[in-house]
Amino acid sequence: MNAATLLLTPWRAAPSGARWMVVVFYLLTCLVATAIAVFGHTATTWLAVSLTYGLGLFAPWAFLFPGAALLAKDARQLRIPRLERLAILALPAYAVAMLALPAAVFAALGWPLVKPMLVWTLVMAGAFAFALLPRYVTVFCGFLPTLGNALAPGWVRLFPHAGSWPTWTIALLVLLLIMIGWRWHGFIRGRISEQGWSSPMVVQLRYGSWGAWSQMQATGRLSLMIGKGGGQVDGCGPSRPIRSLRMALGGWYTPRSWLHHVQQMGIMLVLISVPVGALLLAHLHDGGASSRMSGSALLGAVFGFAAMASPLVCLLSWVWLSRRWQRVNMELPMLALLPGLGSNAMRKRNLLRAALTRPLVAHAACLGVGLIGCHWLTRVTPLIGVQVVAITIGALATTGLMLDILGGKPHSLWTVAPLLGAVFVLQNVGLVVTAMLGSNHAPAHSTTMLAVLMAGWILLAGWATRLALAGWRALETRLQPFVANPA
Amino acid sequence: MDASLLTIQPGSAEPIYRQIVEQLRRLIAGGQLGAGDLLPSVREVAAFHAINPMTVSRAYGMAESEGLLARLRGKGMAVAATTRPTQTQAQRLALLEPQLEALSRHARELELPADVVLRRLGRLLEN
Amino acid sequence: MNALLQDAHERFDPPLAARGLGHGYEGATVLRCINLDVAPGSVLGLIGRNGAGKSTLLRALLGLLEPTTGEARVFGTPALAMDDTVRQRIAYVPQQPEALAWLTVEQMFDYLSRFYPSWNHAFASDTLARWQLPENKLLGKLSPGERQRVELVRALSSEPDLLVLDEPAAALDPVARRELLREIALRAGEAGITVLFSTHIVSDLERVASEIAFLHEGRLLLHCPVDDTKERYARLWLPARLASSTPTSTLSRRSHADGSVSVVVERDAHGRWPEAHAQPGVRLDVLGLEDLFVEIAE
Repeated sequence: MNAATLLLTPWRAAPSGARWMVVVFYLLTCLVATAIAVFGHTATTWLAVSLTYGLGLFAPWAFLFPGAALLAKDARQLRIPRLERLAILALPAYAVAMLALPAAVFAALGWPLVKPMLVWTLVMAGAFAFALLPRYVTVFCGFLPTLGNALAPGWVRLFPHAGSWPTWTIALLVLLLIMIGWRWHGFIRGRISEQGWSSPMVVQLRYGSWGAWSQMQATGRLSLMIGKGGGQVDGCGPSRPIRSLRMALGGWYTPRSWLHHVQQMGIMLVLISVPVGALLLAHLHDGGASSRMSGSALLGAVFGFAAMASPLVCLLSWVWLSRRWQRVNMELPMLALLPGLGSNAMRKRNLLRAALTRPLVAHAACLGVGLIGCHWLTRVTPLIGVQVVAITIGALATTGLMLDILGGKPHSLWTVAPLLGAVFVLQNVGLVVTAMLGSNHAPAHSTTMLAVLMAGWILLAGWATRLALAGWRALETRLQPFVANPA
Repeated sequence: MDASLLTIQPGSAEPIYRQIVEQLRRLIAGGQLGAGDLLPSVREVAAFHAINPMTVSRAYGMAESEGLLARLRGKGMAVAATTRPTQTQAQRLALLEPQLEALSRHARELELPADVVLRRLGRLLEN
Repeated sequence: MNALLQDAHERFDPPLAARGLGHGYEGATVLRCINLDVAPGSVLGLIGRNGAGKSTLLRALLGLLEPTTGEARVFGTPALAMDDTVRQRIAYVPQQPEALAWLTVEQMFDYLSRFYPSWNHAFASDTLARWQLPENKLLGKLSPGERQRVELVRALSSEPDLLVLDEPAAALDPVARRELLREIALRAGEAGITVLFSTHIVSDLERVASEIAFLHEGRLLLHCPVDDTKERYARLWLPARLASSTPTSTLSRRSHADGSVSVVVERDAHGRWPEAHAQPGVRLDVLGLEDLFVEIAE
């Protein structure tokens, strides 16, 4: 066992796409940190540098090094103790290296050492725990900052003698390490399943970028369902072709019983109640003094949701449908040969209605949430306009991408990612620009910015329309619509 | 007779229908099947051995044309009452054809002269 | 009169037909100019090595893909433009089926039975019970073998006139395989349904197939009654000194290290083997289907 093998082991254990992204991200933050160190001349430069570096540490410890857990598990199952040892030893080796190098720089510059190192260790442990904890815990990780903010003032009151922050940081670190040890132990011995909601996030690395999630979707585990399948076959049949097609498209298309919808709503409410509860707690705590602040936090949450949700709807619809249309042994041959769905022209029409209705309704729902957000603002007309335009373009992009799949001309991630990126960026830029326009001290160039935004939107709308038209024409020429697109 | 009396070897170089005819011939010659014994229906044989019913029909048809079996109205196939006299000598010789072909091929491969083989065969036939 | 004509029309249209069928993905040709007629009531076994294009051929025949050349017809109508009356008569089970993973077995049967007018509910529930398939388990949680058995029961329950199975026996244990073969054989023999199945398990094919087709590198090398393969074809082995007198029309030819040659030959119209077999030192071996397959496909 030499140093090179040791250092290369976690690298080899991660999927190639993930490792390059992680390394680029890490090096980028290192560069930014160096730049801050070189050009920053304030008293707190060290703090900025250490926080930037801490941010960079998150990616490898959440997405690259946890691969060692998979390797250790496989090595144990294949009875290769040397490899298992290697996978375990590589982790402290990297941890020490990633701590010692910047620490040496800090020491050379005469900056404080202990606190940054504590923060970095905390970030590494936190990221690693994030990868090993069950999925249902990680879902809540997104709410942690809000929760932390809300609880921060109450914290001191609850624990008046908690001491200075290094003390509880160390306590938290110990807690994280214990959790990591416990999950690691269970995982590599096969006691923790690799499937379902209690599987650790790291399993994701086994299947590349989308694999595990879409597999969970395919087997129906992602839909948080209780009981059998959740799908409701009653009402399907030749007399209701669209409902029948939705059943065969699966996922969020599946027609479900009312009971199921109620259960889903319940789960959603529980999920939403966490951040809302946190805000409420903060609100009660300081007796309305910060009500303006939590109000704007809520507003930000609403708009943030609207801006995120629309591209996400687009992405998820595309992923789901393109997977269905890639496989030749799933529902496509069944649908192609299923009698009772009418002529080929009717099949195409009904398929379009079945496949597009849900995503378009979801886009409309995003718009609805955005409009609710507008309710709290004073000058709403431009904001409503921006929301409508942005979501329309999102819906257009979804339609285009899905038509291309159905027409047999599916796009790869290389088209989809820039398209959705553009949708996302323009939507957020739109929100920022209108917020600035609506504020009392509008910047001088706001009109120019609006013009640029409009131009961007027109270009994007043109692109999405072109995709949609190409897909539509391709679908028109298809004799029957249930033909798989070879992967 | 029961369908289980037959054995089918799908992998053999001999087609299944010939395997069936051959076995019927042997069963009749060996006395396990007597004149008038009913044979299992095509369906029974096909279902028992998971083989194509058409193969079984073909075998039964061939056995019938050879005079081994006779079709009884409403009852199916039965072993024919008299098998010998219905067949001409030529027909009976035709049954021997595959073995004769194989014999002559082997003889050629061993580079044995025809008269030597014939003499030996003649002696075997006389015994 | 019209009905009579249509009846006659249906009787003479082969359940499956291909004319010049060709297909390729991204420059690689998978099928080359396939001409095939599957006669009503026949059980056609499609045999070929992995990657020979069997699955693609089955899918092209049923209109599940758009071929690059040629055309496939199902009961006389173009496969890509079938109407519901034709669809009712077909059942197809893909290799490693994974459809409707989010439904339970029971739900899947409930769902599909709504579309097939002649669905046999009794057969479905009987066979599911007999094959020990749990009715209220999610399809996605079944083992591959169970999943395939469910699909086979599904296909048979719709009482099809044409049954197309892609590697039906691959995930079945010997007992289940035998049961499936029995079902296929009896349905073909009694209900007169047409069956097309692909396999590389030759013994299955020999039991139930009435016809056999060899697919090799996208080409249909041989299509004949299954008994013919044993009676009409043989392997001819020629020693090195006679290698030059190899018959010209052979199905396959292999040269061995010692200079000898073995070829697969066919009887001529009068049932005779090619001239060469009579020469001294030449050996003629009648082949089982498996050996014939290996000879041709190698």
